[in-house]
Order: sequence, then structure tokens, then C-alpha cells
Amino acid sequence: MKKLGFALVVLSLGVLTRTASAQHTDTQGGTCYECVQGPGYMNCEYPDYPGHISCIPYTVTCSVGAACRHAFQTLQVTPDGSFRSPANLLAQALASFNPEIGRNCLGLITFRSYAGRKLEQIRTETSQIRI
Amino acid sequence: MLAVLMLSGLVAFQSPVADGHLNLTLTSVDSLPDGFEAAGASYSPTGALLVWSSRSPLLLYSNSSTRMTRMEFPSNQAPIAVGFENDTVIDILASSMGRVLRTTVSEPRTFVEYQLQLPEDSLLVTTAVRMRGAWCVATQNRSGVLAIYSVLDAGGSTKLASFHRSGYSKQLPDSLAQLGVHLSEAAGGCIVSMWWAPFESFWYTVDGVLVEELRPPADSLNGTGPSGGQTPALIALPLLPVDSGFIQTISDLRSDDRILLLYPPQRERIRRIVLHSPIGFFATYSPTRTILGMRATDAKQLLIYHWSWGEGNTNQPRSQQ
Repeated sequence: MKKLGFALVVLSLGVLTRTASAQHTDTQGGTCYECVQGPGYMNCEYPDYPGHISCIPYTVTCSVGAACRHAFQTLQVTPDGSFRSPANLLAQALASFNPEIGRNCLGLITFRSYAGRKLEQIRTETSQIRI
Repeated sequence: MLAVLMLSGLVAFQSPVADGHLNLTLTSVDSLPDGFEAAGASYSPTGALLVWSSRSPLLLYSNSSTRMTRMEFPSNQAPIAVGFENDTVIDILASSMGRVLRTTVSEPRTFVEYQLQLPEDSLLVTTAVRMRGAWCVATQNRSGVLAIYSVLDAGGSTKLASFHRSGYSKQLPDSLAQLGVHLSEAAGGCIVSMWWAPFESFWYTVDGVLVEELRPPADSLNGTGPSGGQTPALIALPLLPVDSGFIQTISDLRSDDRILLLYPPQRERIRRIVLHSPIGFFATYSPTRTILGMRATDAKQLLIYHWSWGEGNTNQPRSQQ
């Protein structure tokens, strides 16, 4: 898990190389464009995270603060109403390094396991719904 | 006056309903393949269903005779959005730069490509929905403005709305969180739903006429959140048509709690229920009154419900207003 987490952090927070043109290539092979969030931020598409757009400070080192910002900037929601990967994966990776980060910085992430009575409650509650 | 006329025309597509409770009855459950991160879904005119992934160029397809088969299309990117051109032809918005792959249900690995004609100042497409004869797209430009356009197949585009982040900064749960919208389709028009409170939605015709603006009362958003005094972190899913009403899931990211909001056909009183289950709804198909949901326990499951109006369900919700 820690290895995966490290890879994700490196992938997501890789230092970008800025050129004079509007389009850039970062060290992870992403194609990047100037970002709308502010000076020094970029949107990138990664071939191994197809379709994913992230907004990354190109001068960032792998600091916790930057990772938190990255997780929030890449926030997307899934059809079930939870975080969408890879922001979720990144957050889990960070929390695996330091649970305090998971609680304080990325407090929206929860690690849940469903079994037994809780699972049965969910099935019952969602089988018939009246609004 | 024009908006009223357009509204009348749009509603005319939809069948009249009794204006009571909305009952959702679960009719089928399908487990999603491992690693398939569902991102959206689209129904064809005759009810065939496509679900796409945010992580791979893989679609799940079903129709009246086929149950959830996998379809891979030739791309190294997961799609931004997918929709039916007709019952057999599929359009895949394959990149945030507007590249569209047109393929077929029978030969998904064969395609032709075309470029969505985006307005000049558009930097990238963040989300989109395929409609009959047009795409509705949300784009960001270099000034930080999120703009919504209808882009017609016949050529030309119309700006439906634009949103600047500064106008929503107080509502965002973190000062760095992004401004986002969901797009969905209703009666040939485009619905723009804001991610964050106060959860406004705007329903436009492709010509840019605002048909209706919807916004839940603040007190309809109470009653969720984990124990321990944390503030709920609410985020909306798309606003979906159910006959001439609408349903929307509001999710508390810090818990499994979900608020289901119902805008009844006559809009006289917004109904809502709080569920304590990790579920959301993200597509509807009116001819068979079908609503598509996703449930995320240890495995992710695709849920198909049938909706009906009025009485018929004695199962009382845990919390109801």
C-alpha cells in the first residue's frame, strides 16, 4: 500500500517542466496546459490516468500541503456520491503515510467496510424508497 | 413569454402524473467489473443503456435482449462523456480538447473521428451530455470562467450560462476546491446543476432560453453528517427528470448519508428523504420510468429502479420531511 501510495504521490505531484508555449510536458509524460486556478498551476492529462485532468502547482515539491491542495483540486464525485479516484487513491495513500492527514486535511475521506448487519440495512433501505 | 411557451412545449413531451409521493422499486442489481469506475450513463431513444468509466476506454452496454456486455473502444483515454446518436450509433467525447469518436454498438472498434467546434476561448471541456442533434458542454477558459454551451451537430454554438468561481467561493467547502457542474438532459434541453450549495439547477433549451431555475430550501438540506460534530460536506449529483418532476441526490462526503430531493411535477412542495446508504442516482429513462443508481459498499453495484407515483409503498423512510 505504501509503495502504491508513493507512486501515486510522485505521479500526481511530479515537478513539471515549463516551456514558453501554452502546452507542456511533465516528467510523468502528462500533457499539460496552463491552469485556470492561478499562476503556476497547470491542467494535465496522463496516459495512464486516461481522461483525468488535474491541477498541479508546477513548482511544488512533495509536501503535504501541496498534496492536500491537489486532492481538493481534483475532487470529483462518483455516481454513488463518493470521491472519485484518483483523488481518492491519492488521499488514501497520504493517509496511509500519516493517518492524521486523513483526518485533518482530507477529512472527507473515510475508510469503510460493509458487512453483516450494516450491509443488510443498506440493502433493505435501498430496495424500496419513497420520497 | 418565450420561456413560458418553451416550457409548455417541453412539458408536453412528458406524460401527466399523479402529484404524490415518488416510489422507487428496485428491479435489478448488477455488480460492476473490478476496476470499472462508473462515471456516467446514457439511454438511447429505445432504452438501450451505456455506462462509461472514468478510468478506461470501456463501456458497459445493455438493451432489452442483452444484459451488461463490455465494449472496448480504441482509445488510450477514458471518455469525458458518451451518448447515443441513435439506437446503434454512439458518440464518445474522448478528450477534454473536444475530440469525438463515432462508433457503433456492433463494431465498437471501428470509428470515425470529428472535432467538437468549441468556442475559441475554451481551454478544455470538463463535462458534457449528448442530446438529440447537439452536445451540451461545460468548458473552462483561461480567465477561470466555467461556461456552458450547446454545440449543434449542424454547426454553431450558443452560450447557455457562465459561472465565475469568485461568485461561489463562500459556498465551497475548501478555499481551493473547484467550481463544478453536472449536465443532464430533459425534454431536449440541458440541465446545469451546481455541485455545491445552494445546489441551484438551471434548465435551458438548446437555443439558450432559461426554462426553469430550481433551488432547494435550505432546511431541506439538514439531517446528515457523521457523529462528532463535523460539518456535513454536501455535494450534488445531477438533477434528473422523472416525468415532469425532478429528482436529485445530495451526498454527504463525510458519511454514507444521502438526501434525495424531489421537485414534484407541480413544484408546490419539495419533498425529500434522508437515506443512510452509499447510493446515488445518475440517469433516468422516462418511457419506462426507469432510474439508474449506483450503490457503493465493498463492491460497486449498478441498480435499476422503476418509479411510480402516489401510494403503493408502505415502507416508511427513516427520516422524511
